[in-house]
Amino acid sequence: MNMTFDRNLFSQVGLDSGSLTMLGAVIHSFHEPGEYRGSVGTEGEGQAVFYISVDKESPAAQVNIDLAALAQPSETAKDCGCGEPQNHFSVNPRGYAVFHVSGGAGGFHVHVRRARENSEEKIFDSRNLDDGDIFSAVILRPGTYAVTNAHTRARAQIVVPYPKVGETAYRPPAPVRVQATREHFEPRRIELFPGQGLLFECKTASRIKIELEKADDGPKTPREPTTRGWRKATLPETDG
Amino acid sequence: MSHITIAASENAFGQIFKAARDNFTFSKSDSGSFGPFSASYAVALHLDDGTIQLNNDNTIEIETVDVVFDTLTLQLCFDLPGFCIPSFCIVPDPWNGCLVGFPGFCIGGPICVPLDMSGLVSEISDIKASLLPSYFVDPARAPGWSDLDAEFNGHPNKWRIFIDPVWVVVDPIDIPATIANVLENAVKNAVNNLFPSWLPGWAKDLIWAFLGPILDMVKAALGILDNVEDFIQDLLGTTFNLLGLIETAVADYFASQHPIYEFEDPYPLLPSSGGLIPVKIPIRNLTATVNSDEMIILADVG
Repeated sequence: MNMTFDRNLFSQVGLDSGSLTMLGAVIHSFHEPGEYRGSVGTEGEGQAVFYISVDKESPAAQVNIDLAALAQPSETAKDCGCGEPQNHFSVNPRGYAVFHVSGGAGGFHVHVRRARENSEEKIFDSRNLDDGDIFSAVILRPGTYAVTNAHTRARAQIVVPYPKVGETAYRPPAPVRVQATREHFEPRRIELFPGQGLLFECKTASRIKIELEKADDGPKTPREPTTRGWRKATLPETDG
Repeated sequence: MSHITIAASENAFGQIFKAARDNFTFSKSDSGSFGPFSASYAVALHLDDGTIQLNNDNTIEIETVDVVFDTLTLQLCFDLPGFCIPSFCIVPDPWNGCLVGFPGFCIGGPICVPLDMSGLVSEISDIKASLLPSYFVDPARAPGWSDLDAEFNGHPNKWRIFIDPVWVVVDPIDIPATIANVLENAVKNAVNNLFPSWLPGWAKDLIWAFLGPILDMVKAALGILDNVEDFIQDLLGTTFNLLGLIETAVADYFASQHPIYEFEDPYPLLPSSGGLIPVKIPIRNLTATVNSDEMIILADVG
């Protein structure tokens, strides 16, 4: 049998737009055509370089850039058997680059500038999202979370209920959209289901952190699906 | 008029058939891939019971012979659906579509569940046959041997009488409805066994929620439109053609592998003794027929 569970999916319960893991992604549109040079890194670690051609002729409205594949090419190549990862991407100026992490512990940040450095040109840094950027998060672990914007001190709360085995297979509803403005998050209290997408639409400088405040471990007994059909009821023991 | 006549009553014929029936065994295993799932089975069976009737039209009718599955195991392998954290739309387009989506990722992979149905009993509902005499030349007999050499070396020629089926009908394997519960529990166990020990309880519960009602999930994954027992019956009986294989094996066994009666040719009338060679008579023109009372074997000496 070939069943794989990435431990990081279940052990990393917090998210940080400036330190991306499997459950988080950052979306950025470059708008201006040209050649861009990006670098991926973790705190205190070396960086991997990639290039993006923002080209009006490009048909790509979305380019997925896997930071794990760029930062740890040998591990990714070993997993997929596909050799060196691609490090040159192309997207339309009206399209979006989706920086995500396909596996592993993550903790990546992304920095993108013009290939020909220009100090006056606006750059993209995932540790400092700006107006128009989107931080996408998925929360699996039930509980209550605190959301903060490290640049504005805005706060919000997320509540994720414990999953239930229902009459039909559970599918998360459509993602919830949250506006991250200079003053606050809107809405400030977010009710989310496990695995449901959460999209922070940045209207100001943002570094969004989601931290578990109180875990919800659900019922004491494992809630496995019960077998259908009649079962003899267990009667309580009586004295005598 | 024939020189030799041997007769066996219907009762005696029944005993002869019983001995042949009890020697029958069949075993087979196979596997296949059927789109959304793959399956393999192993089967070993023997025959039991049954009624026999001799008819005046020189036919034998054998009915209600039990097909006892000493081993009947089936393994189903399929991909567990519902483990994917679905991709969702980040930037919609103006036409209610999606311009940019979260790539998403999946947890898990294929699982295999074993089903043990050993002990089930099916039935050969009907065998229609006649008797078939056959002359057997032992392939181990050397070309230069006389009949005496062949006897002394244990490789004499033989007359053999087989039950030669015209048709064999095996009823579909009667899979009990409880197999649905067995399958459901087998899938639950398989999924539980796949959970790594470090997986927290909330994650297991989330995965169970993604999977939903197990039986519904399994039916969807395997493409079962009706009930599980019919699906398995059809899979084994028709898709793997197990019924056809059993029918062919039974027909082949009675028609050419296991004679109900055989004797040497030349037939040893007196055994060798006191330095004298045995007395043997050649048997020719052997026929075997039945009527409603008995089996009759006629032959000439010559």
